[in-house]
Amino acid sequence: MSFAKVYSAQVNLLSGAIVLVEVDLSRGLHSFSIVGLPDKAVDESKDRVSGAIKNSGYKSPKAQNQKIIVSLSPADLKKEGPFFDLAIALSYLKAAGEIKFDAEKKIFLGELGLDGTLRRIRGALPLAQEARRRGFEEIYLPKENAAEAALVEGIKVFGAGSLAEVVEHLGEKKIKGPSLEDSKKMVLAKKIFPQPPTKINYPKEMKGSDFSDIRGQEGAKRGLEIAAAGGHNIAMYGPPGTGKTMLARAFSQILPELGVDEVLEITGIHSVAGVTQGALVASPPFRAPHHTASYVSIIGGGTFPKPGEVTLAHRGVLFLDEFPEFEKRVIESLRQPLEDNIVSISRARGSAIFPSNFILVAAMNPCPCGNLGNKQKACICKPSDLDRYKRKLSGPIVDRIDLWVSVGMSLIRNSARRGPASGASALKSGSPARGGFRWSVSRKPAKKLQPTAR
Amino acid sequence: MERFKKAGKKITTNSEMNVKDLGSMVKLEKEVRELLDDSAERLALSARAYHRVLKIARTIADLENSENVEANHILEAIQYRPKVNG
Repeated sequence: MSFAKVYSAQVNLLSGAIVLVEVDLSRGLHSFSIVGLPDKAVDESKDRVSGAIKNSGYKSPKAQNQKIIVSLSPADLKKEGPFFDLAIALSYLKAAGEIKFDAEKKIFLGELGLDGTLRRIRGALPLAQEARRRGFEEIYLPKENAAEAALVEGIKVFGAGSLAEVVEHLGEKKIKGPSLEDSKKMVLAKKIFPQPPTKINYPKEMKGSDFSDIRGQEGAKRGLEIAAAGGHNIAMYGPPGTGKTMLARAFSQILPELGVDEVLEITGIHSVAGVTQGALVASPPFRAPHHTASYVSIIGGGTFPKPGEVTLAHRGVLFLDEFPEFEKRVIESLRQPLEDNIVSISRARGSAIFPSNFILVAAMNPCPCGNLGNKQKACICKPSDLDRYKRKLSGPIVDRIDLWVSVGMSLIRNSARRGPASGASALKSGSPARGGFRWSVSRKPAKKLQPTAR
Repeated sequence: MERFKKAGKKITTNSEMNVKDLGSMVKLEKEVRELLDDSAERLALSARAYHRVLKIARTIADLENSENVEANHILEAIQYRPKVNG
């Protein structure tokens, strides 16, 4: 009977993939099928699309004796998620002759509600990037995603609230009954406009504590400062309650600002993972998974590889509190990301390489009870417990963490009265508290050096 | 921090330098190199640990706006190495 095609796209790993949506209508008993490796969410879009079309004032596809075949190509790419609802609805309406429009160079994205409203999708930014790369000129998506997609320059972004708005914008709606003038008015009264390019607003207000709120712990602060400046991994160890966690949280505040490319990169990653809620990620991410976190959630994985915490922490901080309490497997799996700044995941259904260039900040107690080496309190751990605790961190992992700083009990009286009021500036002038560290071994070369150094 | 990486490198932090970058971007005086080699021998540093120490020393030197990596930078970097047995 008739045929129409429209372009859409879906998220594939961390980037976008253009998908061609074709609809063919032929006479026969009613049937509606989607081919091209659809998953459940795509298959169910039949019902969403039917409902949305009916409730937007068009003839329901179910009300007619016709066979509807929707083909999504490339046929060998697994289609996941509700990205195609809008494209399927539009190509059906076009095939059925309800509307006419030129579908070339346009991409349609969005999940439809039964009443025809467009719902937010994930991954708008990488999809828009891919669309521009492939030479598309216009992209239509839910208005919640428009600001994010408009980060991409060189493509017109239209954010729409509903199927009807998109149809009206595309114009040339076939209206039965009303006069020509009415339909002209409708074309004129376009409801959706191109989204202006989004500018990146760096958050100026720092939330949470920064180094100026932390008194004492000069040695640890110096270590963190070095780690932030050079992107080195750092581990802090010390008894409980000495501020390791607080220092780590303050750490994310002193990281250098992100460049535009980096903002795009990590916003894309977070968008695909569905954690942005439509906002831009303009400051370095701070990820602090709990120590019960599973291997897959940290590294990424799944039948179809999904990014994990190490990828979400890309260009930011991965803070692992109670480091030795993590599963052995989790700790060991950090080897590759720490060394190569990427993580490659291979599964039966495909392999993926995700970026994972993060600063690892680990915090740990010196022993399970936390009091080993403390002068005021006795350590109550059994030797076997100590041994097990130590063995949790293998040599290769320990070796990959560049900076080890001890966070000792600070004497309340001294630090509260004399601590520096302003963090970073005082930090720079203050000399690192060398005497506070226990590596006697490093002092030997120091002594030997003195004649040449001075 | 990034001023010396205008050499067309994609990396933005010292920690991302590879061994080749270290050779071309981190210049050591003879005595300083000797000190580092000496300490590496004494502490039984692996090749990777050796380079990591160099990177940290470079960062410390950057923080002090020092052009060259001096002996005290190396020494501070070494003392951040993990003590035996983590």
